[in-house]
Amino acid sequence: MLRGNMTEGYVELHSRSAFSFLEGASMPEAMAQQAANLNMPALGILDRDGLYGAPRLYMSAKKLGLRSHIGAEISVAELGSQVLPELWQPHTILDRPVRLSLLCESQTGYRNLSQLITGYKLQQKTKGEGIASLRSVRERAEGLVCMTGGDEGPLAAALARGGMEEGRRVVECLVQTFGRGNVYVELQRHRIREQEARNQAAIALARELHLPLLATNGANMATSLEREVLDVLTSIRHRTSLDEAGMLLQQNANRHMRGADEMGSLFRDLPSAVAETVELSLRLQFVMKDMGYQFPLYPIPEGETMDTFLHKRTMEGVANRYGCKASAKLRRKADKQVEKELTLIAKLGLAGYFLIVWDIVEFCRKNGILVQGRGSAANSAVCYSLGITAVDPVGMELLFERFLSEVRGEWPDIDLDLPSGDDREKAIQYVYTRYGQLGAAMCANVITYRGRSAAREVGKSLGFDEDTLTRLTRLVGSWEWKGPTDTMKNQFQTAGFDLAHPRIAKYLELSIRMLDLPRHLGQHSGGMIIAQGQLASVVPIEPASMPGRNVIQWDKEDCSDMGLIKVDLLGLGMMAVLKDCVELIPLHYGKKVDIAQIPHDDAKVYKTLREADTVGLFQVESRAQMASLPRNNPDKFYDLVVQVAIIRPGPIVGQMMNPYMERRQGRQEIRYPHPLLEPVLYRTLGVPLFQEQLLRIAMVIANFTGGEAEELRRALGSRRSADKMRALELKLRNGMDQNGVSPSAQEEIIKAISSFALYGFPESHAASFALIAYASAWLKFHYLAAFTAAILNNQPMGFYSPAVLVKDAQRHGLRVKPVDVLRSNWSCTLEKEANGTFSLRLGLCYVRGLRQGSAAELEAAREMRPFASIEELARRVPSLTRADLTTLAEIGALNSICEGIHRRDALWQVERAGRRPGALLAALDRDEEVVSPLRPMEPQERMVADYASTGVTVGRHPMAHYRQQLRTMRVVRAGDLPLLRHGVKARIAGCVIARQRPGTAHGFIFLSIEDETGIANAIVDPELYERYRSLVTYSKFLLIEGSLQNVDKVIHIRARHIEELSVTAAPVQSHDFH
Amino acid sequence: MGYAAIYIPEFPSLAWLRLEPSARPRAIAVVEGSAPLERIVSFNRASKELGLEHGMSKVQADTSGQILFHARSIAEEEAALDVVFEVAERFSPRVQIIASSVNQYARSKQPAAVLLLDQTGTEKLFGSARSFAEKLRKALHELDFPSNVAVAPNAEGSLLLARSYSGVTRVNQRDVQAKLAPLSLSMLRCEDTTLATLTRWGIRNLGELAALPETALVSRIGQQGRRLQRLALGVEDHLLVPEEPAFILSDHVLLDTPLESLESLLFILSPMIDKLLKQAINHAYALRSVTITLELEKRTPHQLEVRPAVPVQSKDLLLKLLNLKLQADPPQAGILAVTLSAEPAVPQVSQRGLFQAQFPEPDKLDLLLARLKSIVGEANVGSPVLCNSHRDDEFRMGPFQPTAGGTERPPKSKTVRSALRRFRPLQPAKVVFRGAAPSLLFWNGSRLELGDVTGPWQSSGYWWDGRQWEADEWDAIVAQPPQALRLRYEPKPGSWYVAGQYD
Repeated sequence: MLRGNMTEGYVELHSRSAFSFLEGASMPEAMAQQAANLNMPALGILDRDGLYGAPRLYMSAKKLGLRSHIGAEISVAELGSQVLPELWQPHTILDRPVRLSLLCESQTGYRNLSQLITGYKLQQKTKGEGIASLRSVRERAEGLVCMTGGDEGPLAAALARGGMEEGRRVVECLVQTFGRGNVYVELQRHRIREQEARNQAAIALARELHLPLLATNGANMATSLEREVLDVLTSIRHRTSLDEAGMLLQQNANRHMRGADEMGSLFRDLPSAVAETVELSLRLQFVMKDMGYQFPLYPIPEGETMDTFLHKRTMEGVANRYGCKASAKLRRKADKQVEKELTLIAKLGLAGYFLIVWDIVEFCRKNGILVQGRGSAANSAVCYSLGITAVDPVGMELLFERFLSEVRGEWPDIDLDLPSGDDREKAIQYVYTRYGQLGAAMCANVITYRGRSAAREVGKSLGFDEDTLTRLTRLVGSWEWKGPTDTMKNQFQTAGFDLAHPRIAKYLELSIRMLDLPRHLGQHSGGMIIAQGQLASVVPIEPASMPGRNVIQWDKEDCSDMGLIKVDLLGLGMMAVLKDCVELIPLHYGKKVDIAQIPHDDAKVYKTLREADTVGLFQVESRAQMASLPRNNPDKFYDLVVQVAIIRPGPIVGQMMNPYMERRQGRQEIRYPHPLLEPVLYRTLGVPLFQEQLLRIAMVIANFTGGEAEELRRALGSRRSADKMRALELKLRNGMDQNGVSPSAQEEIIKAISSFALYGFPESHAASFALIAYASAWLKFHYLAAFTAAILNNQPMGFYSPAVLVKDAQRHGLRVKPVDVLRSNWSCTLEKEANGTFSLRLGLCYVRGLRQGSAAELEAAREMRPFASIEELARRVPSLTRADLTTLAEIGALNSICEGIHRRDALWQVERAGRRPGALLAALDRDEEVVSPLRPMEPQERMVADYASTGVTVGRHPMAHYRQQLRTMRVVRAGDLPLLRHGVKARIAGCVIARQRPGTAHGFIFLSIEDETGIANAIVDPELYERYRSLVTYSKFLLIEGSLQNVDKVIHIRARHIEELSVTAAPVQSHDFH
Repeated sequence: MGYAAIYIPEFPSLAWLRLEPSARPRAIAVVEGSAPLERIVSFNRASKELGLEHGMSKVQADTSGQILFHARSIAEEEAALDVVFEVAERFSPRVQIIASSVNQYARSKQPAAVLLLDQTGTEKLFGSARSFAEKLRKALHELDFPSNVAVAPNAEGSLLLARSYSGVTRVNQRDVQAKLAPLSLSMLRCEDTTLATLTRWGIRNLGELAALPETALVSRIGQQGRRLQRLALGVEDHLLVPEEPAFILSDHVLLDTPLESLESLLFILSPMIDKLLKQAINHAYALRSVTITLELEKRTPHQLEVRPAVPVQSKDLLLKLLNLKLQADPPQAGILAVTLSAEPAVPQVSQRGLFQAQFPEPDKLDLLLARLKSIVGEANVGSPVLCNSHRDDEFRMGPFQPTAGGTERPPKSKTVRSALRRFRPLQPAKVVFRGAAPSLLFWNGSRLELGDVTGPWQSSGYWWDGRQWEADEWDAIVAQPPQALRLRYEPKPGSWYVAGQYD
């Protein structure tokens, strides 16, 4: 082997990343890193039927100083099927169409490739891989370079099908399609006999047809070590086990990235084929940043520009928003701010973006859909004037620079909160209609392998049985906080696996290696990408699993990296609740409620907030919020803004919460690091809590401009560039020196800034959320029945399960009635009682297994005339299955049909209903009585049936049934805990309704336990958790003993001992936060 | 009429402890399955106190480190059941095995051996039903099989009682229902859906089930309801099918004086064959084979077997075959005793339908395969089938499937290929490299110069278990003597082989 024979360099132009879902074992980043390690000047990744990995390849290659070549493998129907093993060889490989390997030479090529993929992907009615027609490839061939491919390619298939003759025909067809200069005869050498035979034929053809030879390695993994992962992925893709996969697996570990030396040695008989890769790489001039993305222009009337149009709409809004407010000073301030913002918007050419968002908001408003902008958009007076946000940034003195700054060079981000469900779908469909199916699509969400899914899938591949896998995956913890024992290794051991056994050791190793590899493409919760002209030419679009939805092939980070602007249409459960309340209240109470006009000074509402009576409320219902509410003691709206922001990782990490709380309660003196900062920090008692304050600090104390301050925040937050940070810190110190800030104060300020730059919460966002939080508290306080009905109809949402919400509403005096087939609708409804109050009727939606169609049929039949018997119900509503009827009988929903029957009578009848006896037994049938020989259900049995079939019970709380017994065990009721002294030993018992292990709590677990009098909280330290791991994680009812801590009216039990209570078999649900 | 049921819980543990008495005081558990997924199938009381449950993995069970594990052995359990059966047979001639390892203990929650005895007519031997049950239990206990024994006038009733009550239970017709009444519904074996319906109805025990109106019950859950109710009432019938001894055909004649003449021997054999045939015909059998064993003077016994092509019921044919066989292979000394044994078989039907061709005597083939298997091992007889694997020399033995011959043509291949004759096992060799390719081969005592060499062709696989392989192969042309060889290098042992020769 002589080095002299070797070529100067090599570029891998045909590799496949893990974004060829389950056909590649390495992420584009890893492939690029390996290419850099091998001293390649460039790398080409061709994923299967998509450009999924292109942005990541581009970004990581850019960082590594490599050029990236974008391309894809396109399945084509007319060129035959991929090579299969010989007929005599047993295998399970399915017939698959060949794939054309295409590389983008120019922007035209990229656009063509993206449109080509979109074209055939969207033709698929369902989510699938899709196959292109040769005709569509011909139409989009310009700017693309075609390689004849490896085993999956058309040449290999043709040679196997019809020898040289067929091979020649196919290559000529490719030449015809792509042009003579754009077809490369590809050679791959993986040390496989059959492949080499095909290579020899390909070489002969290339010489005969005067086509260039191109060496590639068809790499589908970065290093040969990934072969095992690749084999596992293959078996997952083909839904088989490794033992059964046989020839589907890799024949050897040679399909990895190889450098110039290795490739030169492999192709020492054909050095030109290796050299050609460098030539071709130089020829491929397309760079991802030139993909030609433009944000759509907003259609405007003639004679207008987008800027003038936006100006007009904004000024209309200013008149509307600020006109009614008395203060002329505010109006002046607003006008000034709006002008300033509009100038910057015009300068940055963003008018179209604002108009598009305004257009969506207008659509919502016209169609009665509640909509509210969240996030930093609430800092903008333009957004407020256009009705995009609901918080007045001028009145609240919010900082515009946090939203948009000239220096940032990034698109602004406007997120719209919409009621989850149909309303949000309407808004999404509006965007589709307005910009066309090829002009707008949802962002993708790349679903990756997580602990549980990796363990399950690898286990399946290795041939473990279902039981074993279930046992294991149940134990794979997914708490937010990971302790030293929360390793996968530990979980395997807990599941009863012997790690000393090689097969189990391999299982564990592979499960860990599989983590974070892409599994499939999902849909982002609300991000929509809109593009000028055709979005399809920027990024391929494909159908989502949800009918009527399309997704692009990139996720939101990729979109952001590629500079694609996104409008987030997020579904917010509480918005849907507010909307339902707005509809329900006039209908039943005869009063009209306008969420925007709710008085923000209702003392009674603040009182409930101070008492942490916040179950079901937006943002302030979590255990941590409840624990801080009595300390924060809110009595005005701004306190709520602080409250929303305070229970966040930022202030907790930055140690900022405690000083605020201490000062709030008057235990600590309010002081400012420097007198200059008093106007900035006076609202938060001298403690910086919001990102805007951080910006203002820099502006006030160190004379930063708004843009510079925002740059500082981002630099501190991302910690990306140490140099940049040092420079900014220097500038900050210089500025402070100029303002005469003492060195000690400087240190304090810098510490305050850097400690929460990353996690701080924007004040504007907190204010937007506080509006919704207050609205929810106000509605719950004044219209409990309507609020409870709305929240129950919009499940799942929030922190608590419906069972907890029902019990909480009952404790607040709401009468909740059970499901009744003669009265219940699909949704929960309100019923007026004789005394004029309202009660809540549970809806049929809570009956497990009952379909909405059957419920609609039931309601229609009932409206015609009520049912006289269960038999009649079964007959007149045939879509109710026997299982439905049984469930309805079991929860007592049929009791009202016949006079004086109980649940078991109904069950007894249900078994007969609809079963007509033949003529022979007709006489026997007549003898039957309505009343059954069965005994009625005991209260506990009713409760178990309720929980099993509806998830809620309107009867007594499970713990109430056992109170006598619990009293003898000296268990204290949750409601009685305030009567106990701080520090005493106490026992609480109840149903676990929430478990939390927050990332910032150093492994402590917070349990919320409910009994018939309310909710008690317990704290489990990591050591105790280790001892009672499975009890804490899975038990439904717990008895906890420990010392009672009552600090500032916040009560919890510091657990010392935990045991399981087997009080009932009721399948109650807890909401576990991971 | 009375039936006695024996219920022996945790039978696999008992079967083992019977053979390993020293383990009795310890916490033991019987595990099933192959490592690493062994599961606990049975354990003793000491283990139960340590928290063991059926179905636990061995690793979970082993947390205490005090448990003695034993791999489950069906042979042990069968031998133990034989002992139990023998005891039962001492008490009644009519015994049925209800649950054993053969039927996976009737797929109940735990592996318990269950036997049913007909107790009718045993009063004179064993006294009252209670005394019968006590004696039976005592006999089993003496052999270290702690058990529950229940005697009831109804077979199903006795089985239910034995499963539910420990020790001895004896009920008469009048009390059976009352005794069954408190038993949990889960004791009944029925479909899960039916059990779920009854549970929903609040039926907690057999007494409540028995109290339901029969017609209404049947109209709701069908005939199964009736069966369950009859079980609950203790009136459901059970047809006891006694276990029968194995059907053995054998006869033995002891001679007064040594017999030299074969003709005289035929006179003795004739009535013996006649007797065996009659026994077989009585059971609707024919004879598949007859084995004659002759005890000789001062010689080892002489044994011959005749095996007609199909099972026969003809005495003359068998006698003739025996005669021929004896003539071909006569005994070398005077005959002292004759033993004749025969293997029964279902008579062969030579043509199963009017339009079907006659069978080509398939049992001959079966017989041949069976004999081959007994010689070379079960796994080594059959038709080789290629495996779905990149390891191209891998095959497994499938069932022997002779082809009709010549009708099926191999598919036409477009390319001309050379055939490879594989060497099994691979032939060790030594290889010397020149540059990157082999150039000299030392094989079979010869030194061979290699001409054109292509390769290496690499393959590897089964990395996830013990079958892992990795091989580099070269195709090499040998100039003298002219031949093409496949060389194989296995990096793991680091050895070279000649894997085959191209035609």
